[in-house]
Amino acid sequence: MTHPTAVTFLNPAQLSPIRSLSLRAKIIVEGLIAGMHRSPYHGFSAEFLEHRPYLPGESIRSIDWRSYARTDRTVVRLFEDETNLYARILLDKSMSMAFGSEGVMAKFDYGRTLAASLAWIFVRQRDAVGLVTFGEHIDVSLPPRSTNIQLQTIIACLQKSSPSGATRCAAAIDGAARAIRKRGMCVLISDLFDDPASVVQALRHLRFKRQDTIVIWLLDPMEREFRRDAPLAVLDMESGEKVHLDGETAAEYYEKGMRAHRALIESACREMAIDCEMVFTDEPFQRALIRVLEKRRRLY
Amino acid sequence: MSAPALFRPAMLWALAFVAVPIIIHFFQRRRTIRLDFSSIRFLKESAVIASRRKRLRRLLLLLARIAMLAVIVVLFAQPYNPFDPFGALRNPQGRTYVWVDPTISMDYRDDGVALWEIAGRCVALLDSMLPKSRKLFVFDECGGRFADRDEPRQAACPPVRHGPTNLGEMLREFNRRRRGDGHVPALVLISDFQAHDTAILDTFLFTDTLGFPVLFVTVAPRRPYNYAVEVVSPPSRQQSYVRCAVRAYGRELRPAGLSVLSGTLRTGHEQTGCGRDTAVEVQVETSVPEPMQPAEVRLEADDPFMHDNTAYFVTESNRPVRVLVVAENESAFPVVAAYRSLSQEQGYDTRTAGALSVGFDDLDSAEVIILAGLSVPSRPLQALFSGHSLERKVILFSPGMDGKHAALNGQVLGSLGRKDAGYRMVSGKTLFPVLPDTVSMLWRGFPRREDKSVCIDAYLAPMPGTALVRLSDGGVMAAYAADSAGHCWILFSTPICIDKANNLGETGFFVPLLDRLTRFGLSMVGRGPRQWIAGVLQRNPFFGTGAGADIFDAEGRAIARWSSQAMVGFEKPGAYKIQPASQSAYWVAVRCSPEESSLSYTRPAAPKNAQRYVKVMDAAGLREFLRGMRGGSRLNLLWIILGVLALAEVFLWEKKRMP
Repeated sequence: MTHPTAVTFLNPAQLSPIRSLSLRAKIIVEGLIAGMHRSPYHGFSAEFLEHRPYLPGESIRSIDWRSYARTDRTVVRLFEDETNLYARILLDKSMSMAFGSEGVMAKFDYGRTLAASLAWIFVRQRDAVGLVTFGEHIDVSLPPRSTNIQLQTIIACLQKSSPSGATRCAAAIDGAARAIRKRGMCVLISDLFDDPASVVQALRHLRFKRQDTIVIWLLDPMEREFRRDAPLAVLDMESGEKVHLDGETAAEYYEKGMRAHRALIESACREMAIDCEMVFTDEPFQRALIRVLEKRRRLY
Repeated sequence: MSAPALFRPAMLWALAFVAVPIIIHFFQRRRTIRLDFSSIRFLKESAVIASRRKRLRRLLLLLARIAMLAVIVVLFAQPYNPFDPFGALRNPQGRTYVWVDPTISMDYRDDGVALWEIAGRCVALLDSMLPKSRKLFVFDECGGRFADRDEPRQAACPPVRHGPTNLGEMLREFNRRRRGDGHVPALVLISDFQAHDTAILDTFLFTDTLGFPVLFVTVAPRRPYNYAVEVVSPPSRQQSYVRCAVRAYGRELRPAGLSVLSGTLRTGHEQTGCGRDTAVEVQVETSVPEPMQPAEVRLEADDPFMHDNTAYFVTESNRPVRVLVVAENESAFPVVAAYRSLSQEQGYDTRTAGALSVGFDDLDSAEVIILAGLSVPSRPLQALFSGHSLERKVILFSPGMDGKHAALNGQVLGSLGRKDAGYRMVSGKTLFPVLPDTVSMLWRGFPRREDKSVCIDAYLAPMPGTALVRLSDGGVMAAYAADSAGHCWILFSTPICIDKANNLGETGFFVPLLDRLTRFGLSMVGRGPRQWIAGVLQRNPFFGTGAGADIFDAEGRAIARWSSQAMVGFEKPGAYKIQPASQSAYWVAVRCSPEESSLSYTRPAAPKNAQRYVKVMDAAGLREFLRGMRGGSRLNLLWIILGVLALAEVFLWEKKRMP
């Protein structure tokens, strides 16, 4: 049985040389399955499917003790829902997502890796997964499907896309929500640099469409703690506007503004039972996924 | 602030230190780092403003630091107000000249503390409160120069002495020294400012162009009082009492003892008292002492100024004064009668001689010669006029008013004044005599007096010599002059015998006038009861005679030798014995100056053009003045600015550190 502490998470920096998003996702997801105590495969289905042998490293709670009593073999019960989960991954590809501080993966790169990994997980669970990428407007919209081709399509789409345009997070989410007809799940990967009230309004729209929503709030480490060591000439990556700032003062005001922004969105998410997880791009992917999935699992 | 307003303008080089904060400021400016950031939504609105504020604060901080350094440098450079003359007192390179009044009035003891001690404290105060590097010179009374405070003073030099003030000497020395000073000096005069000293100072303030600060520090007592005694008439063969004048200044004299002492023996005693600012004449009965012996009258009253509580006197000589009246006719009878009337009291031995019959022996034997209405001089008189005489005489010259007298009048007056003066008779207007003032040699101590009972219708003008008695139109009635032989000439411009030019001989003014003038003349030739005042120099009676004398005090100690000195005097009041070579000894009494007794104080008053350079204050005011001057409003302002800048610096520094 593998001890969880023995699991080695791969840092984004270690994965960044791997250009293939598919390979990145596979490495992440396989590593994640091997390291997790609880399999994320069981989280989203309720109908019994079959038994399979118990694998070391899995939680003993998943062992079918009745079967063990009858056959003296440790097996794990697998479930499958009668109907697939319709999941949509909403990835922000605005220019603000292109930001990555020195030595850290850019937010977009990190975000699409997360999206690919999630798509991989969904497809492996035989759930239908779709993709929506947006900047100022919705750029790509793939309806959810549960086939392997869909996974390849998603990964190819993610591979091709690059950041552009300003963040119109709220409008894009609104647009995506309008297209949803069935109950399902939405995973929003964004830095949420938009008007918080509009963002909340859009999330409310998703909830209205009976979407179980996960917000992966993706931030660079510098967006967590603004640099305060020198005067700065800051160029807004979205608007191209340039401002001259004193490092210390800017950091104080940034943190103050960010704190208020975060408090507003997080409180709205709590109110709407939306799972909002702040992920920083210097964090290993597996850890970020585990945090999201574990939290998700606890909700069910 | 212009450079001349700084005592140490050389310190301004330190302004180069202002560059230090500027350099630090520029070194602290970090290079701007360009940063592409995801969103400036939280930075744009507030951070830019804050950044501007911060930059403004940094700039203000720099300015505050520069200003602080500049103010500190200016403080080190010691600024002063160039429009305030007394700002020069704070100049560390300047010099302060101090004069402390050395006259005996400074020995007035107010509550047991002498005024000269208070003056000493003022000097110590100046020494302690003026800048340490500033030189302080105190006028050395004995050396006659300004001595550095660090120089040892002459040990024998007392803090006070009898005699007139040395203000003139001090001012001459000060003017000499200040011409060599590179900086504006300050003059501090510490005195009780008695009226007669103040008159000198007022003259100085009016005549001198003041370009330097003058500080008058008065130590005069607030409620001064003093009792003084003066001998008016010593006992003589004719009188067995001493007539004294007792004066009370500022306070009533309650009955006090007045004793006559001859040596250690008390020979007379009286009780006396008088009201405030009044005088009383007291006769103290005493045994008739030996002639020409010293004695003293002592007023046994306690007062702050004791120097004038004892009056010394010498009993009159028994030998009468020989008076010779030379006249052409009987018109001189009133003169003879006047002297004879005085013979009993004053001891005149009066004789007469005709103008042509007077001989050499008559003239030689007389001490006082009255020439009344002469027109033709005899040979002995010609010899007298030309100075052929063994001893100096007192000659009272009464001119004749007729034409026949004109030649002799012109000869006598011309020999004593300008020969081409053209002495003429003035008549037509009735005048009366005026005793002109209270400070001249003859009338010292007397008030100005006019006698309108005497009518003078004609007189000669102009008169040579020094006026003794004037006429109501300002002309001269009697004058004093000395000729080359040393004779004392009392010259009348109008006859003193019976004449239509005046009614002088018929009035009560005549006899005292003659007596007074005769005694004045005798004193001028060293024959009469010369009035010696302590500290006041007089003509040496032995000067030019080839003879000399030893001077002894009352205890018999030799204190001086008079020989060829032009002027001599006594330092202290008392009785002194003068022993001329090959002649019999005699005593003189030396008194304290009556001017010092009166305690009449007046503060110096500066004229309008000098008022900004002059300050008058008392000892307490001096402390306040020095304390205020130490700070100075402008200097205080700089300290306040420095404090405000320091606070601003701390505030801005804290703001710089805080968001």
